[in-house]
Amino acid sequence: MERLIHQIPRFFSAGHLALLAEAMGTTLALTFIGCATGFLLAFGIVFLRQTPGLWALPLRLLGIAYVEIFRRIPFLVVIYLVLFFIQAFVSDASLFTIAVVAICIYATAYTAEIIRGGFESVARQQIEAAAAMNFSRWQTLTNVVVPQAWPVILPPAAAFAVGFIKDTALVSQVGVFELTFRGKELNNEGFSGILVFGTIALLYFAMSYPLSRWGRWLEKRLASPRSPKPRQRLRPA
Amino acid sequence: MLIGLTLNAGAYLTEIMRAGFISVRRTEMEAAEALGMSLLQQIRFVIVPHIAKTIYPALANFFVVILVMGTSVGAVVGVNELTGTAIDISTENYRWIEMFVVVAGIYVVLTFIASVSLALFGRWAFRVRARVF
Repeated sequence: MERLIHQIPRFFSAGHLALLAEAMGTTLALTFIGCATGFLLAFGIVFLRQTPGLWALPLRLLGIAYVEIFRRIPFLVVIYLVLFFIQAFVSDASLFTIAVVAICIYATAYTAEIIRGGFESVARQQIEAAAAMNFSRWQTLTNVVVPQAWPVILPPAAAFAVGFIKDTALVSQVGVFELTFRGKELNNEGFSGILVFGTIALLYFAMSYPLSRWGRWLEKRLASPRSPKPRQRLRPA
Repeated sequence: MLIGLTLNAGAYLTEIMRAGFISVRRTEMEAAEALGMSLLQQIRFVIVPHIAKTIYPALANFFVVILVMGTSVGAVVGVNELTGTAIDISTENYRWIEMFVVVAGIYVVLTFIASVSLALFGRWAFRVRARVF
């Protein structure tokens, strides 16, 4: 404990703070690039999964298999798989790219489920009505389904992205210079683990708390009159 | 590792439980009171069945998520579970891709068994209409 207090001024030097700030930037960049790309790909997966007709059966099965398999594999295993698959073909791929690809694959599987839930919340009859009015599939999607599914999809997708900030910590295993990796480095330099990882934990909290508040605000803002109201408290607190 | 997992799960489970408690409607409690139930009886016959039914899907889902996400993180601090053992073995023989494909397959099978059996159990015990897919 005494050693810990003794280390505090040395730990919070300008150099270390700049290092940690840069690492925070990397963590946020990983999350946002990965989740944004994953979100777009997930739209494609859901589109495949909802193609009607017998000829599209393999496409539908592909979509289902992708989502079900990657939702069931731990993120750590996905990271290692991506790392070694990519290194087998491209020997000089940067670790950041590998991490982004892994996050992308993982986020695609999870957000595909969220998007599917949103699409399914649109009443069947509306899609049938659109078909009766000779809308093409793409027109039905952009003019009927997405405008209504949007408020259902966005809040859980935002929650997923915010929750994923924490999961990017696992990427430090393959040596990307993000927050947890810097924490390990500083710990190896001889700073007390409690001090280093306590600071890291606080920084993660500082990143995700404002974003989760923003997500909650978004949910309230986008709530349609039909969506379930937040339940009343049993007893007024 | 176990302590860390317990702390983390505790936080998430509290949130799930809270949702369950909030979902018990005021009128339900009032009805129970009108029937002359004591507090213990209210808990036993009104709150617990209601909560069990509402939070069961969330609990089952959380269990599977922990099975997948939570335990594999143990590899980082050196617990010899599935992922950790895979890393150990493949650092010896350098067959990373084969090893991790196999491990991924094992995880898929494990979580598949877990989620199917939990869904079936939920149908049997709490009449939860859970979908396997």
